[in-house]
Amino acid sequence: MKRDVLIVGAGGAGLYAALSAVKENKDLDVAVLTKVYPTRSHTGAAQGGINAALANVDPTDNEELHTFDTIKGSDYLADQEAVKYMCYEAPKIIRAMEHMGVPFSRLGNGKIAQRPFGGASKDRTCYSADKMGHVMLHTLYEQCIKEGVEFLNEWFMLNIVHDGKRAIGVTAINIATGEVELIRAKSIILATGGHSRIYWGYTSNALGCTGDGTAAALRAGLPLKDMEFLQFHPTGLRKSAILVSEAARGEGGHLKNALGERFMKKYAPEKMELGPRDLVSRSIMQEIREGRGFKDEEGREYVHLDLTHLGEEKIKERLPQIRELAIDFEGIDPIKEPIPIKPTAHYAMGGIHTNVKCETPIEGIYAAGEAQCVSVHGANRLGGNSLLDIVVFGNVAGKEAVRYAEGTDFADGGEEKLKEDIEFINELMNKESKETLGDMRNELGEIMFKHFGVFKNEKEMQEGYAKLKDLIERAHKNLGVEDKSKIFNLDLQSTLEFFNLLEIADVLAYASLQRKESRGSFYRDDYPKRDDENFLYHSMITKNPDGSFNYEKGEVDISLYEPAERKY
Amino acid sequence: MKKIGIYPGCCFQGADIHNYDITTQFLEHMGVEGVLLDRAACCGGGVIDETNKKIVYGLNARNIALAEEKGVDLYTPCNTCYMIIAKTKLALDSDPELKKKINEILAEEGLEYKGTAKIYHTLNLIRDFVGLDEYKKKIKRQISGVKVAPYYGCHVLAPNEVAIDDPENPTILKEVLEPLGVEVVEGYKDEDTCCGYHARFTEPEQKERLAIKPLDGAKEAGADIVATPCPLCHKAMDGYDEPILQVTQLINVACGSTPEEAGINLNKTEVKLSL
Amino acid sequence: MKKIKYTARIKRYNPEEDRSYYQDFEVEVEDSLTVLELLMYIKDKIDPTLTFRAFCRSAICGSCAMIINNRAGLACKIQAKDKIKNGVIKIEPLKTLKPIRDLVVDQEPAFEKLKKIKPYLEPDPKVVPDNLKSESLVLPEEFARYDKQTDCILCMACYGQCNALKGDSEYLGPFQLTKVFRFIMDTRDGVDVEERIKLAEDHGIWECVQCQMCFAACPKGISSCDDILELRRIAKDVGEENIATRRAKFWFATVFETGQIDKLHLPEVAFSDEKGKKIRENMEKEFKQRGLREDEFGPKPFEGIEKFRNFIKKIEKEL
Repeated sequence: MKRDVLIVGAGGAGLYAALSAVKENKDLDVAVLTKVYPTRSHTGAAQGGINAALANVDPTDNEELHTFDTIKGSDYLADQEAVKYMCYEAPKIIRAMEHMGVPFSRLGNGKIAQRPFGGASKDRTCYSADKMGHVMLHTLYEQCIKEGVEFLNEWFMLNIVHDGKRAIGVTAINIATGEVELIRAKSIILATGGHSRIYWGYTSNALGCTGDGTAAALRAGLPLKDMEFLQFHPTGLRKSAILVSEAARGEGGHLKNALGERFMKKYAPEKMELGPRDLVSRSIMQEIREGRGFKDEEGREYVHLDLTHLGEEKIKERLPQIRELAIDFEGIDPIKEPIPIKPTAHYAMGGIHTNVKCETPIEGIYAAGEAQCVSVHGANRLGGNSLLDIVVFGNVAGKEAVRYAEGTDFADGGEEKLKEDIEFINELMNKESKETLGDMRNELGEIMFKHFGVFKNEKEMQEGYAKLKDLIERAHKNLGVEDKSKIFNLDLQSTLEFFNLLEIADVLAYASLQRKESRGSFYRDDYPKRDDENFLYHSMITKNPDGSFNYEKGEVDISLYEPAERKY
Repeated sequence: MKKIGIYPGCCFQGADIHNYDITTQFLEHMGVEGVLLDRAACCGGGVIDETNKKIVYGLNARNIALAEEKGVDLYTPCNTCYMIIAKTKLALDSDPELKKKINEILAEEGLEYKGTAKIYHTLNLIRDFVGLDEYKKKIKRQISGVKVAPYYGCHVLAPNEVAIDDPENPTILKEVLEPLGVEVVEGYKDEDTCCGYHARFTEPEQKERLAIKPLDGAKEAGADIVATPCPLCHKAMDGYDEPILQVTQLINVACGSTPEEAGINLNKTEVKLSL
Repeated sequence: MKKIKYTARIKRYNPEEDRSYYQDFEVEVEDSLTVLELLMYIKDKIDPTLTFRAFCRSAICGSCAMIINNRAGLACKIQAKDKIKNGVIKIEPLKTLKPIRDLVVDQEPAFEKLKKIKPYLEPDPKVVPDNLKSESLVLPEEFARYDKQTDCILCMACYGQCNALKGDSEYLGPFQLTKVFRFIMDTRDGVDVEERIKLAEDHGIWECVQCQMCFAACPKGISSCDDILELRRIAKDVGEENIATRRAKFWFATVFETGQIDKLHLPEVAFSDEKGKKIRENMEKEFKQRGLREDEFGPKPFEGIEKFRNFIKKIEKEL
């Protein structure tokens, strides 16, 4: 198989990239490869909204304020020109999507409605009730149908293939048949999403958010950036860790401890519940640590997100999905009772290193979306900025990939890699498992949440890293695929995903140990202060052929705003 | 004697005029006095919506108000009338604004929708209004040696909000049939496939394709007849190889009516009952 | 933590042998599992070959629609304990799509049908600006007309137990028709309503049997069968003339006139041909045989019909 532009992943970034690619040059073969179906991707789960300084609600808002809020929220680790680009693109891309049919909620005057959100100085978050990601994803898919974008559904990418200078293609397995193929491509866009599933049972993410592209990039020798930064969202449901959107706080929800206190007054007296996510997550964990949390029969600790004072009408109109989630998965109606919540691993700021043109160091290989790290989120992403990031950089990646494909031919080679991958799969299929995938996945989640969670320190991390190394070794030794069928073998796919998770967890743990400071979402109680002198850099990690890591420091662009203390 | 309001739907009209006799006969056997809601109008039939959905709310608020005016609950043997009226009741009871607006208009006819009348269909009338034990006492003779396949039709089981029984595993029809002495044949192919009645005048071939499926399934499973509570399903499915009757027809016979009185001779596909 | 014991009866399909069969799994698990968590438990602990799709586990991605105890729904949204009947929970693949393996079905035909109806907005230049400096204006009440329909997650639960599809495998399907309605209602859409209706008519709106199963199945509470009635109304309003629209007009007219539909004349009016006339003549013959008087053949206005007509007029105008 050959495609001029091959996009891996069909979430918001992948679909936007596909649209901008086909619009840029109709004559190119553009295809989207996805391990699921297009509208299944995790973009659909984004509830709260998308930021753009439209100034529809607050006329004093502008792109510059959005830029500053984002940089401040990032704890000054974001690249400032890149942030500026994103924030200035925001109003345009929102309008572009509005023109495509995205059903935004509206103000009385017919304009797109906007709501307040954590870390934002103005009411800037455009929304569609609490299903923003869902309606965006579906509208983008609709437009892809309109433009005749080709989809390779239920294909799972194994590896990225290049010749050291430029892209050759990817190897992938057709889930329906089990056949492994080399798909040649002039340019490849990795839009494979995040990797919060390394926290397995402690994450809001979909089962498939396993960082497949990020792990493949690492194997292909591409640098991963800022991998130690992974955001915990303050409000995951107690049992399932499924997300309760920030919209719940944006609409006026209160966080309360077991004493009934709105404890955020201690941690963010001005912003209260609308402080940035990292701060709110730590505040919740601090309350729990100091014994002011609740504990259920299972020993799960949590605090309350109280919406009851908002009243039935407002909850039903503005937060219908949140109410549904609370009822279905927690058995609690937020109209009547507070929702039990705890922080949940939510979003990876780190990812495949690219520049602002979405280019990786290998020609023809691009990344976009949560898999990518430009970085526009730095050490902490603001709510409403991820949906923005994926479409802004999806758009860039699509155009850049076309530009590159137009000026080049298909590269030769890759047959070796294909052979290797087929052999690897065969080996895995023929191996008898000595441990079960389910247990090992749970073990990974436990290790990561306990040792690399909301609070970290040297001792905990060292201990955790040893456990992780042991798990990785056992996995390679003991784990095979028990389902021997070639047709729709999801046991095989889950096993491959698990190996990806292990690789990423390894990098995240390694990167975490190197950073001896606290910044944004990354918090160490042994180094509770930000240390700009020594750590104002992007961590850049590549994997050496012997499996060891190569660690480099990348420069942070601080050309617009001098780093200052981040206070809310 | 307990009273109930008989809602006259279109299943009492035209070629189906005998359904009214079947219904009154049935109520008589059950020891229930039927009060005809003589000013009631069509429920909308899923067709008035094609003119204006709001009229459907109006029509059925009014229909229920007519029962309430007479101080009785409302009974319809028709699955579709039941579903549409019950759905309207749900909408009115959960939307005070809608109820208020409709009542303002109803007032001109001297009517008011209060929400006090319950909506009954044959099956839940037997179970909840008459009582299954009481029902069994009314049966005078057994219809033996007949294998009967119960066919619910759609609108007593969907949508869930108005279902008269557990929509996933309904048992009420079996419970009503068994005391009649018949052998009940369940779990046949296409037992939950729609009869297609409502496509009769939108895509007639669609109705033909569907109506035969449950009949074939029942036949394959060895059933002699199919029994449905719904006069519309009956109308849609009568005339094929496998005979179909309304449950009330069987009940009437078991309670002492002759097959002719029960309208069984009017069936297009002949039915022989051994009594 | 309360544990409960029950049997999960799962319909499996082995593609290598082209064989469907039920397999019972005896489980003792937490009572608060969703059906998806139950399936994951079985895959993790008992049989790793059990195959089903799942992704978000929070009822937004639409991957895990299946038939649970005879009704379609999302496995992740349904509590297993609510579905245990006599110690058994029955789990099967969606019905109107072919199984690929176990609970995984081939969704392609349903997606292909979606593509047929232009499932996208073509901007109306009168409403949608041609530049990125401004947005189209949509009033909240205009958006409210299709807000619910935009909740559709393409999970295919409705499609998986649609009765119209059992009659015609080429039937478009409920969620596809809801999509047509969604775009017709969108003030920004520039496709002619007539064109959208045409697309919805081919193996579409007229084949729906109004069984309500799509509504019963939808995890988002969307009522495609009601959207289809709206599409029929719109079809009638833009001048479509066929058996169904003739029926709809006649139905309303006679109900308005007498309170009841005139079923004696309905076939004649709807079919508008010799066949319809024949049906009426046969009915009349039959009535005479049964000894009915001619004035008993059709509905007569009830007492106070004038008030009823006023009521209908007011409802139309004021509600």
